[in-house]
Amino acid sequence: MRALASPFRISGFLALTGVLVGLVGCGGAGKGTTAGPAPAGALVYTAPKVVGYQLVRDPASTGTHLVLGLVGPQGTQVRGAVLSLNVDGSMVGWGNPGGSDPYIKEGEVLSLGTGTKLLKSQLSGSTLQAAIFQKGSVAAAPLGSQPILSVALDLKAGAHTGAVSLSSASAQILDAAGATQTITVAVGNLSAQ
Amino acid sequence: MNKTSHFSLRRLVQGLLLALLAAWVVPVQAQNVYWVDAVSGYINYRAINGTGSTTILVTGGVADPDGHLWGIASDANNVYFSDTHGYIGIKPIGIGAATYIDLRGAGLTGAEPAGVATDGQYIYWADPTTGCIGRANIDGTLPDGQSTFESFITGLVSPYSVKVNGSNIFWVTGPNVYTASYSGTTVGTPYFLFTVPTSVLWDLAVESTKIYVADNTNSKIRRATFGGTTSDTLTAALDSFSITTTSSPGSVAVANYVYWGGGAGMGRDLLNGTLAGSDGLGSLGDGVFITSTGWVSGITITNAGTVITLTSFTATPTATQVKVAWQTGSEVDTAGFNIWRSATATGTFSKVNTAVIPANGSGVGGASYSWTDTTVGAGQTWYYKLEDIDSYGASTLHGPVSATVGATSLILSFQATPSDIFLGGGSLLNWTVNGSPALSIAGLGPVSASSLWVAPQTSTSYTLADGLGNQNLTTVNVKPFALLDMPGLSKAWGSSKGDANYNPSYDLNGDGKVDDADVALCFKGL
Repeated sequence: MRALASPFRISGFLALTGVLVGLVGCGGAGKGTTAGPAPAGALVYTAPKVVGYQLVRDPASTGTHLVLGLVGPQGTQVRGAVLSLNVDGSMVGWGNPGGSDPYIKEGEVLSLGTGTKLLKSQLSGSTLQAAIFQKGSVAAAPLGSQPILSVALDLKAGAHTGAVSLSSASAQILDAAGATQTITVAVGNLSAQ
Repeated sequence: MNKTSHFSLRRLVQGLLLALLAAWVVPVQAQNVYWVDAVSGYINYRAINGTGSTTILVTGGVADPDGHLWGIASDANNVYFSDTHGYIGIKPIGIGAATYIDLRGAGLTGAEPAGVATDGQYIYWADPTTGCIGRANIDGTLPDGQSTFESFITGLVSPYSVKVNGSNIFWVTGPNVYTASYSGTTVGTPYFLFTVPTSVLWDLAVESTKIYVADNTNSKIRRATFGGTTSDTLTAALDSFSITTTSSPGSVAVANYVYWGGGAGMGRDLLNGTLAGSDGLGSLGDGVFITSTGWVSGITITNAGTVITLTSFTATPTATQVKVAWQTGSEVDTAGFNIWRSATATGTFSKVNTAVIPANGSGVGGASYSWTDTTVGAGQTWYYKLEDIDSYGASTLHGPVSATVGATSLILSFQATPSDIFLGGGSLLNWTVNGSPALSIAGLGPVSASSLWVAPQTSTSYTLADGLGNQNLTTVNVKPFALLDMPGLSKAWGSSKGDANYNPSYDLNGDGKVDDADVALCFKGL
């Protein structure tokens, strides 16, 4: 807003206004309020076309509330995962996918046991770090179609249409042998429409 | 009891550990009070106000280390004392061993000195056995060009105590006090000053216009006031001053207060005869001033003028050196300090600093000092004394403190388990040692067990010292728990100490198992 008050921006705004007035005066049909990007009303996510760990759209999603599930290769045995996701914070924000944690929801793959669950998230700016692990020597769980965990994105009010940046910064799993392995989580295309 | 029988009785009862003693005093300005304990044969001292512990200055005489010390006098540098086997001892107040004048071996056959005095130029002694008063130069050499010791005043009847004031010599005989003027090598005719009826006087103390006497028979301290003050017309008469003591006094001294000693210890009182308790000394007043003194046969007050309050004095060894450090709370007329060292606590100390360490404190503020001894041998314990010296040359010793240099370390191992911890957790410092050293961990103090649980908030190094100058170091690294540490927590959860999966880093509360309590501590920092 402070930039709009600069002489350069004001003069540019006046010039644009003059053009629009001129267009109207010449019998043109354009209106000044329809010249900018259109406000977005929904989040649209297209899953990556890869085999491996990736974020997929969860059916629990709504128009402005996108739930993404972390899934992995079918049959892979895991005991937990931790990943870090970045998003364009001007367009969307991390939301509650409906679990006990404010930002992540456990899937139906892992057995988190009783007592305090090893399920935790940390939000720093527009970066979300999420972790979910089984406790101790519980047998590793085979991956299927169900997500290991879910996260959610909410479309921000006033967001315009267009592509929304979403990426996975880092990710690890704990495999059946108890070893930590770095994985790549494929992220699809996210846009606001 | 006449003087002869009293003196003989003293020797008789020495074997029974209770001496009946004469007393001999030099009153001077004071910082320390020194006294002869005729039972132990020691010369002891304490601070002038009687506080603190008793320090032994001299342990016995020449012929019999168990006793035979009687009289005592002092100046700013030395304590002078008698050994009734025929010796006069000179012991520096500071560092240095006692030296002895062998009176019998130097011509005074049969000498048995009792009371001792000094006027800063000569040492005087009263000899009741030979009935004379002798003197030597202040350094113990023969006086006045003599080739052998000759008595200064002869023909006296059993003088037990002697005092000098620069112009007159005073002594007691039975109930009477006598004096004689002296100047250089000449001495006037002895004459009677005053008597204390029905008494046997064991000691006297002289100040400017007063003479205090220890009335052993009547358990009192009495006083006479000078009339004429010219030495040859000196007169004195008993005044109304009287202190009733708790036991028969054998010694008396005066220096701002009047002090006396006997079998019940030492007492002191104000010079006006009122209780010293009224000046804030409380129970130290009339009666017992210093207890547990055996039998006090002589008292002297030193004028060691330097006054410091020492708040700490330590000797800290390293592998090859000893750092001697001290801190004063206040300093009055303190010129500087010297460090003295000995291989034994009671041995001969030698000054080890080359130049006096200048004083930096004041009367209202002390200062911190340190001096490093780089000339010590490895594997040996060294003892250090601190000498403070005042502007007038008087000094006072403190200590000793000790340090053992470069000794073989008694610490076999010292480690932190785990060495990497999460914030909110802890680590067990554990060690193994040889023997039973005086272990301490810097910042934590002495430790006696074989382990110690610590929970630092930041990465911390711990130093275990064995008290012999050896140290072992271990470090505990602290970091906040992060979600990337979750795999490790997951694997360790449910394990106990000894299990393959047990990881002490995740056992934050150190209870030997990784459970939800540890999970809670991990998550607390998130």
